[in-house]
Amino acid sequence: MKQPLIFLFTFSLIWLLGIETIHAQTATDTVTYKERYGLRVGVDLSKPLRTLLDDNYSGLELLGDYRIYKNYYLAAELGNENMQLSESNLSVTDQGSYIKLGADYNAYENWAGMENMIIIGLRYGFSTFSQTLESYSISTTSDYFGPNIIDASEQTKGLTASWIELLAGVKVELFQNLYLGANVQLKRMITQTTPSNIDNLAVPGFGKTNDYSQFGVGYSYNISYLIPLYKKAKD
Amino acid sequence: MFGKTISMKNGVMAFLALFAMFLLVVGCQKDDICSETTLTTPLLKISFYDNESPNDSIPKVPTNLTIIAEGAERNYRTRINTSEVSIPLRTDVDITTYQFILNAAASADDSTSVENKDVITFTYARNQVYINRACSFKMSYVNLQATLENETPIAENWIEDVIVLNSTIEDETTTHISIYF
Repeated sequence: MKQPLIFLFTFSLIWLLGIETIHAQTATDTVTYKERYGLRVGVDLSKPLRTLLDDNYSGLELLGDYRIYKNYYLAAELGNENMQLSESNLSVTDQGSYIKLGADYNAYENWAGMENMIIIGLRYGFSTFSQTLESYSISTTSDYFGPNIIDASEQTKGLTASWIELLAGVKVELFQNLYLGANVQLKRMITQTTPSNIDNLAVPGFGKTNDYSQFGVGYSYNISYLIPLYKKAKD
Repeated sequence: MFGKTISMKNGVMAFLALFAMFLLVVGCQKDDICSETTLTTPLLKISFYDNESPNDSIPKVPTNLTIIAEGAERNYRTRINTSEVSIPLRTDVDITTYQFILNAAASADDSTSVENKDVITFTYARNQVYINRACSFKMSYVNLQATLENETPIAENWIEDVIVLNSTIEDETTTHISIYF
């Protein structure tokens, strides 16, 4: 499942950068130009797509940012995910909601009239979720008695987790006020509560956890719409 | 204009570098396969001793010992000659019964060896312990008890005594059961 998604991601990224180049060539220059400030709201496209393609996943994420000063934007994501993980000896479902709050910095020096972004961002993420241990087998040194597979359906509710994430990505204005964006995220867990007898195998918003480290990765492929509120001259 | 082009190129390069790092992190995640070296459910370690030795401390090797669990279709060990053996306990119930067959015949037609079959029942409580996502759970056992089934007359038993040394089974480093004969 992971490989086709990465392929899709890479392919769309190349496509996106292609559009960027065309856009750059057609941009016009004006002497006195005012930059637009406003609220941008959008949705993550990769999560509904994955919901369609992957039977073990469903999710939705809304996102927004607000330009506060020059190249700085306040940014937030709000989402819900349901992930079923079927390991060879263990099957678990994690489901819940999350919020990510933080800021984006636009590292891209735009031509006048262009509003594209190369984003470096920082987020604080918080999730409240439940984990259900669906089934598992007992690992043994000897297979003399055969496998012991247990159907459990043990749900633990009220779990929480918090993390910080660093993200890098692009946002390109496709048409007037309509933006297509993509980013990758590197996350580090800060706190988490786990069920009494098992670890959290995935956390909504954080994604799959790692048994051997506190790090995780994620990606987003999103479309958003800018609601312009006011204009301000560029320095 | 020239400056802008460089700036965009740099930005794209920076992004591609980060994307490459992302792929690297995804690609370098450990395989979700349970490693052979991971300690899973421990075996019950049994040592055999000479019943007539001073302080009962001299290891003794049972001759051609075959071990089979009650209800099992195949032997766990066939005609072994060793003073130490480790056997698995059932992970689905709190009781496991084994037959220890001394002087086991090589085949059903072999009438030269006189078999002596003794039955030991092990009872215990099970604790489930989480290992990791690849290996799932293992069992550890507590309150281990061993009962030798007495035959009539009592001289029919080749085993004289069964002593529980460690009633908790969490690893295989120490002997849990001593069998004297």
